[in-house]
Amino acid sequence: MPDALFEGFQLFLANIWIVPLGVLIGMFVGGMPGLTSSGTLAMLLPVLLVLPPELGLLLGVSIYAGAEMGNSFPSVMLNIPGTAGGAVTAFDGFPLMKEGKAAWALGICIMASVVGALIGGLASLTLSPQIAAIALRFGPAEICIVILFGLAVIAQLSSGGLAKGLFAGFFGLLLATTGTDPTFGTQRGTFDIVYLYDRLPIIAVLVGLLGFSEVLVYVEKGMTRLLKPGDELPQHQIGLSGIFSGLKETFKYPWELLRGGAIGVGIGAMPGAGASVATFVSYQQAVAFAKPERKAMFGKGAPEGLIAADVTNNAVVGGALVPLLTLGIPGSGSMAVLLVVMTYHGMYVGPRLFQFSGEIAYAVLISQFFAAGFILVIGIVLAFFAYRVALLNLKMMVPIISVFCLMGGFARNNFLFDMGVMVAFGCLGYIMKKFNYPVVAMLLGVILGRLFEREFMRAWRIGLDSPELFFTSVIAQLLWVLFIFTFVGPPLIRFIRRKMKGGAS
Amino acid sequence: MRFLRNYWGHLLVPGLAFAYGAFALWELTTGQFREATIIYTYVIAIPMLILGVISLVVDLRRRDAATGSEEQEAGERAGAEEPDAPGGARRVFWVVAASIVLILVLPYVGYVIGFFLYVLALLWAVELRNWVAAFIIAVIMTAVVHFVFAGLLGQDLPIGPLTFLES
Repeated sequence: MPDALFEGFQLFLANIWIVPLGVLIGMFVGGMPGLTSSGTLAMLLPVLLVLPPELGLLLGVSIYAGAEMGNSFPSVMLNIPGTAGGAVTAFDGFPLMKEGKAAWALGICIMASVVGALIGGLASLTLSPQIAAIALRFGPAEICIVILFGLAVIAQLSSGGLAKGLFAGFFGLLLATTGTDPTFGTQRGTFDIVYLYDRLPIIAVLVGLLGFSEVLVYVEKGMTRLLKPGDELPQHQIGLSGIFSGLKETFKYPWELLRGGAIGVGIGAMPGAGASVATFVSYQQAVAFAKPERKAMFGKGAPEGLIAADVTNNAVVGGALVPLLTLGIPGSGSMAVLLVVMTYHGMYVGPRLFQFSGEIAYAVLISQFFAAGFILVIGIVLAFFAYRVALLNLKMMVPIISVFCLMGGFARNNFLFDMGVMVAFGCLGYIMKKFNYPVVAMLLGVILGRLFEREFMRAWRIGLDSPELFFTSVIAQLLWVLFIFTFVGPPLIRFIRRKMKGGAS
Repeated sequence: MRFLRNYWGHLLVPGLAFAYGAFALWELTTGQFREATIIYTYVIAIPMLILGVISLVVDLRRRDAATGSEEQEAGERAGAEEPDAPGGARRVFWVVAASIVLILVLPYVGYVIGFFLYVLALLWAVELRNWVAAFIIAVIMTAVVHFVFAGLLGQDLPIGPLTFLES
């Protein structure tokens, strides 16, 4: 191993120039609503195949890492998440932007992403076999329980009341059933519209619910500035000093960083789960373990929420590399493209990859640390220009955001119908906001609903139409205990602490 | 009718959910679906309907309880955090209408003309009356769509009559 590691490092140094290029492309792609890293990698496949394998893989991984950070920019600045995973960043990032703390929020996003990339890199470099062994024991029943962690945010973040939150969440879950049944292939709720045969276009839905609805709120209120006259911001929260203050702020939350990183690596390594599940689970955990006085801040600009989302988003990259490099199993669409590159060049795919092409595998793993460095540098430069969006006249911003929303809806499938879906959900989101229904809960249902149904049905069928499978394996039992602890644990710990303090005094 | 006139806003979201839920259940009950699919949808739709009724009742009772100065406080609780500027609903209508018209005419006029006019229409809707600034913003946004989305990212946008863009 040390020889291969050293050779990998040498190979990486010889090709280091491709990493900043990949990070830059990734950040650009991630910043464009509707475009995903997997779609871009698929688009760039001819280029990736022409390049030598080490260059192709380094470019692919760098694009993936850059995109996971890049999607934080539109989430924070415009409330338009580029991907489902980026939606969680918008929950707390955009409220901070509305308070004029965009630079500070972007600083937090950048540093959390860097830490996430480093945790992902470290974990995949040192613990790959162990992580892969555990991740592969996660069957549909276990993944289903993991998704339940994400769905539990609905109950924890219901600003308009629990009933409204749960109602919106169930409405989202019901909407997620639109399209072809993932298990039996029958079509439901499509109204015979061919564009809905596959499923409801998720990106169009989330851009509409978050971004376009916000435009309508601005328009209705006739707002010209995000900040009210007389609002004064502390100097350390704007400009370059704001960005650096945000970078430093991140380290005030070491537990959120570690927990989010671990969740990102773990769920990233599970084939089929991906960044959207990971960020929601991480966010749910951050809410669950937050102090009661901080809990109310989630969804209104809590830095912990922002950190939980971004550290996880980037740790997923390292996690997703684990099954690809150790077992030849792609955990996500981006990894599937890299698998194509590997097989095209005749690389051994599977457990013996490190034996036959160890130097390339190690070069890819090492590149994550350098990608983190480039994310930091490029991110700060971009944030320095991006935060100024908050200072623009909102009347001018309305058409700009609207065009990005429309293109965000269109970009994924290139259907005009999806633009219509975006506008329809924008109107729905606007009405929901007006009557205090939590949009986030519905979004969560729509994003995770499909995955939940697919895994639930698979587990149900494997268990021969019995729920037994959800409770029999050790991992499932452990997950249920953790799930219950998430709700019962924090108040219990606080109660015990209070008692002990009372006893001591 | 009076009930509908007074509470139409509160009824919108639950109404939509009930309509979709009813449609989903009707489709599953009358169509040919596997038992598991039907059960799964029922497990989601039934709690949604119950929770929708509860939310609606709570909302309406809260609204009814609010009178005079209390009404303003309740309004704030119900989401109207700031009083809207006059003509807010009209502006929202124009923005939504412009977006729908754009989507409908895009295949015929193409993205260059379509987005240019759309941006102008939106700036008019939000009452920006500086036409030079509006023209510049419309040109810039159209250029962004052309160079970034259609050019660099290869999005397959309808080109309409400007066929020379095809190359």
